[in-house]
Amino acid sequence: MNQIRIPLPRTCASSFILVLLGLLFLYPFPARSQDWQDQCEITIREIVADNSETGVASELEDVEKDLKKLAYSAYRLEHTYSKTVLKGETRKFDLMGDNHVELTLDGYEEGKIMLKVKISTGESGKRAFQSTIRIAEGGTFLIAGPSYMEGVLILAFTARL
Amino acid sequence: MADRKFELTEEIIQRYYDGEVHGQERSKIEEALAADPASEKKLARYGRVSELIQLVGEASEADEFTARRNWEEISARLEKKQSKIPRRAAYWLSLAAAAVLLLFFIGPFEKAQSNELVIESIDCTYASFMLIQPETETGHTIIWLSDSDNNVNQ
Repeated sequence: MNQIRIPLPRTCASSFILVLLGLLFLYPFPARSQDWQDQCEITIREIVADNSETGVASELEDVEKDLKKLAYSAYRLEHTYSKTVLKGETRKFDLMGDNHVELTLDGYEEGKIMLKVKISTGESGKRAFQSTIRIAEGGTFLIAGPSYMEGVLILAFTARL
Repeated sequence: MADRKFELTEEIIQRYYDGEVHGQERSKIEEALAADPASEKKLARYGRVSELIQLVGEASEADEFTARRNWEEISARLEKKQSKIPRRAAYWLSLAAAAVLLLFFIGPFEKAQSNELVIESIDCTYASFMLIQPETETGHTIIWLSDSDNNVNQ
């Protein structure tokens, strides 16, 4: 006797599509403009480089290759600062050796976070460096050079939405 | 004239019609039928009823056959329709699944965080500055500030 069969394949296909959509939903797509909420989180790692020892701190593994391009034998992570910066807001970070960093969040352009970075030394700001940069979400860049004792300060900036 | 003791009952006529009586009994029945026109009519009626039953039977057999044939045809069409679409769909679904899985499991590792730095402007009172560009996409740009240029391994 013939019996009406339930079209199982269609049910399976629907479930399968739902699973695929679920996976797509969970996929960590790069940040898009709609993720931009007029603010970002800036992390600054304050690194001291000198020749007193040898080695790179384990916390600096992600930038170790880059640091080794510099002519120092030791790289120590001294401090980590993390602050949320609103669009148009300027945040100041006081670093070792009377060095200061000022960060201004300018906005989000072409898929990148736009920051104004100012590094100055001493109250009078005898030495100063100011730059406007654009960095990808989660990206890191380094500014190195301000003197600190027998070595230099290296600042690793990371910006996240 | 038929034997008085022999009476043509419905049952006997039916048995006769069905060919279940033989020999002497059959002869007796035939004699009785010949002598009794009413019984002969009954026999004729049996014949018609039997024909009708046969016709109805054939018709119902034919109907069952047609119904079965129709069902098989419909069933075959349904199966064809069902099997064709899922097969095509299965192909695309497999491709989609492969793409999603690739994206999900390999994508984040393949497409590592881009650290590309775009410098819009620089204003510097240090003696010099230089940009040390990364060799790979995953490397990081270093802006080197210096009053002298002797601290870089390049």
